[in-house]
Amino acid sequence: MTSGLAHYLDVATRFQAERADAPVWLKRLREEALRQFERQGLPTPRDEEWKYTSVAPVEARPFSLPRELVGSADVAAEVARLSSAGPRLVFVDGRLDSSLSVLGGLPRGMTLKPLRDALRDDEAVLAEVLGQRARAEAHPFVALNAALLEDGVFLRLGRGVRGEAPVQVLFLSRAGGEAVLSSPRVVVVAEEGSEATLVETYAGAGASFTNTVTEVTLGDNASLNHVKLQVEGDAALHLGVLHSRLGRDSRFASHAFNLGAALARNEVHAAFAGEGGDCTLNGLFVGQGTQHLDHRTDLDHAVPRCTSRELYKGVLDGRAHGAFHGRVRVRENAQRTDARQTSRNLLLSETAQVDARPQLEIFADDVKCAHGAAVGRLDENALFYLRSRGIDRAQAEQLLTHAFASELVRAVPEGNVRARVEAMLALKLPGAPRLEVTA
Amino acid sequence: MSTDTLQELTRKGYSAGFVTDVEADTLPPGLDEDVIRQLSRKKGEPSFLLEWRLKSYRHWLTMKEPRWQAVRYAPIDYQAIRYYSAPKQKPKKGSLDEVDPEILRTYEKLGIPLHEQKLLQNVAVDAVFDSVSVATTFRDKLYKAGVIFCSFSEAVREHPELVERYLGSVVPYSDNFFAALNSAVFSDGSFCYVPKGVRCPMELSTYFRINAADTGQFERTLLVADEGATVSYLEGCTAPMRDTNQLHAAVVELVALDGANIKYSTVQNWYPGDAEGRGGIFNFVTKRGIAHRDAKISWTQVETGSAITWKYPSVILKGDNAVGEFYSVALTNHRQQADTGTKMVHIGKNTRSTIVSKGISAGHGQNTYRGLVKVLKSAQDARNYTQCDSLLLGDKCGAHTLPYIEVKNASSQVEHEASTSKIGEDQLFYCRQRGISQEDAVSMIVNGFCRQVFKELPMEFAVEAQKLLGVSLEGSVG
Repeated sequence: MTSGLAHYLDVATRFQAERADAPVWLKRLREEALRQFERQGLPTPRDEEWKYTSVAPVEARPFSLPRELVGSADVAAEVARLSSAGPRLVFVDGRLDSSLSVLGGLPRGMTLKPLRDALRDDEAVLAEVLGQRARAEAHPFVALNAALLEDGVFLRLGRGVRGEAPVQVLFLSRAGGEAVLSSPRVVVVAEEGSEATLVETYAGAGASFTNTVTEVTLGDNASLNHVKLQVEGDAALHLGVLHSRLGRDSRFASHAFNLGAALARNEVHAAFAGEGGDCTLNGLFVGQGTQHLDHRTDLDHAVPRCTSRELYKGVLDGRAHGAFHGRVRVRENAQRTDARQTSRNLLLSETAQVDARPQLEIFADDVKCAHGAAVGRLDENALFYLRSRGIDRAQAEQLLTHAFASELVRAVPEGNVRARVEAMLALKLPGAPRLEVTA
Repeated sequence: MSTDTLQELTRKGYSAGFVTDVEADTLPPGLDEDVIRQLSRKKGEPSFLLEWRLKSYRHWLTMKEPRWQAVRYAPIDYQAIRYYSAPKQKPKKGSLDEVDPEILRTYEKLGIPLHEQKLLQNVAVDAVFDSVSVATTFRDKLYKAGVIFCSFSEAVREHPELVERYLGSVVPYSDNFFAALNSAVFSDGSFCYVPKGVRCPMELSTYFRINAADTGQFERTLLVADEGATVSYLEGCTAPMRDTNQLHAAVVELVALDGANIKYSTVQNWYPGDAEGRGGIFNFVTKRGIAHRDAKISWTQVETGSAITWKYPSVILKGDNAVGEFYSVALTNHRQQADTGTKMVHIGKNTRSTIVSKGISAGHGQNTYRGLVKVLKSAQDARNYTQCDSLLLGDKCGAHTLPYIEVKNASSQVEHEASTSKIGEDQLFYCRQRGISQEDAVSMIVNGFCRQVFKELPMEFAVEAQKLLGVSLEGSVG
């Protein structure tokens, strides 16, 4: 049995050999990605990009590819808990579960289908975007995902289409059985003037390794709200990379909630391709026990007159380790850029730790750019105030922690989704629901 | 601003760029163990120092030049550098009459009178010309107070026990590529020891001057403040204008024992190269201080010169209640590059650090703040405040802020704030409509931007720094 890099190369080589009859363009894409993965290898903390995160757990176990799905009735309740009315695609242990998915009732002009079908039918659209936003040569895990490209989601919004209900994508892993490596790819193409909300949820109790990549392409004046809720089990490994490209006057908002998994790293990259774009990157992570939660964001102000707002907050308890590395680049000629980046971190225990790296790289002069980072504990004065009002210390701490975190929950635009995020957060930060009752 | 005013302004340039004609005693270019032995012999060093140099050299050979920095330069040929150049003169006896009058004139031209009787301000100066210290003023007065202030070579001869004890204790020879090189070949520098409980009666100052061509300047400063001592130290630097790059790889070590207080100020004005980026000094310096219990180390730097400035004056806050400060103004004009900042390592309880960094970019200048604030588990109730502001003058320059914040203690509080902006049209308009010329308005606004740092400088230096900023910026605003 092989381990580490060799294991993944072996798995991917066999995967590709079994799909020798795939269309030429797809074969080429997978093979090139495999070469890129081999060239880059697995990162180590000596790589500046991975300074605060060791991917040793990825090497420690021989994760295998998903098998064909048999019987998934046991997760129906979980699916109900994690989704609301509206279109949805459900994947269990890395495989599409059509019986739990809802694809009907889509607005005219909206396409939502499993990526496997799109790879067969929509080559023309996919060739322009697939692997173009998230590039295999720039990231080893994007390369691994592309080398194993098969399952995932394809969402296309035609000109001016407005999706009323949020589009939901669920990835569930079940406890027991083999340790599965799933490599979903979510591809979103929003044409001119279209609008939608997409929710990606990763949950389950399995000791899985999820290596997911999302590629978003926004046309002129298009708008996408993207919510990612990661509540995987204590033993799970989760690596996620999202890349978005914003057309002229388009709006992209990412709301990333990183609550679960033993090791999770979430990357959000946004690149402005047309003037007047507006980008919001919000993130909340809550770590307990020995969780390691890493966040990497990259905002590329490549053109003038774009606005970005970024707020990442972390709450760390137990021996949890949080990391935030955000970069804002303002290229030459990207005048009139307005960018603001904030990282705030709350340490609740003596043994929790956090690393923050907010970065500004500015090559234009007519810009407004600011960033801030803070690490601290709960404000003693605020605690004193609450206690002087008869609230005990434990409850006061919960109240303040919840208040710190809820700023990001409140920013989620869709009511049902917001309520779900709130409920998930309440599981991690107990005491909050009780306080809501008293409030 | 009109092109006429711009041209008018660009004519004025680097005023310290002249060459002094003195006979020099140099070693041929190149570096091997023999060169180090020769150098050590020339200086009559004790064996421990030669051994240390050789150990450093052997370690340096195993190291690779770092590449992570945000500065770009052509590869340095370490065999083309002369590692020793000293103006020929009689052995130093403490009397200025024996210093080559050419050298004295050089310092006078630079506005640093070495003749004590002419000194108005209360500053003792150690003047380093190329690789060696040529004069140290006010030695007697300092000696009466118990303060040892002399060139590094003298310290090696007269106080070897102090040198052996503290040399490399803050920046070990294996620390980094340039520190290892310096440890192997350093030729001179300043040494200062302030004994227990003594408040140094005057400001101490070292003035560095690179004169000879093709030399590298590798000086080493070691400053020890014993328990409860207080000292303020200034450092200034200039070099002639040449169209080849010269390497300056210095090491500064500060030791602040319990309750000591060290204030270290730098006004760095090495030759920055011309408008097209030809020539100039590569200023690759390692500066670090260690602060023991209740001690305080404060770095203030005004970096206007050098083709490339690459340094991170740092403080290791080892003892409880230690305080570290870093105030910096870095200016890059034309093709200058700067990657500078600080490291604050909190180890002791109740340690506090403050970082205020002001970056100004003009022309094609690239200015990077890179800083680390590290709070270890032992640093209960540590506190850090960081503020980094950048001012952009022109649309071809860049300003980058790359802080690293690593916190392993929940009781600590760490804050970082940064902003980037240009001079507001409304600010300029306001000044202009009150009859202030464009240049004066810009210089006023820039000086206001740097005020927080300038007010940390000793008075004489603050005035010099303000003037320097004005000169360095000329021709770039508009």
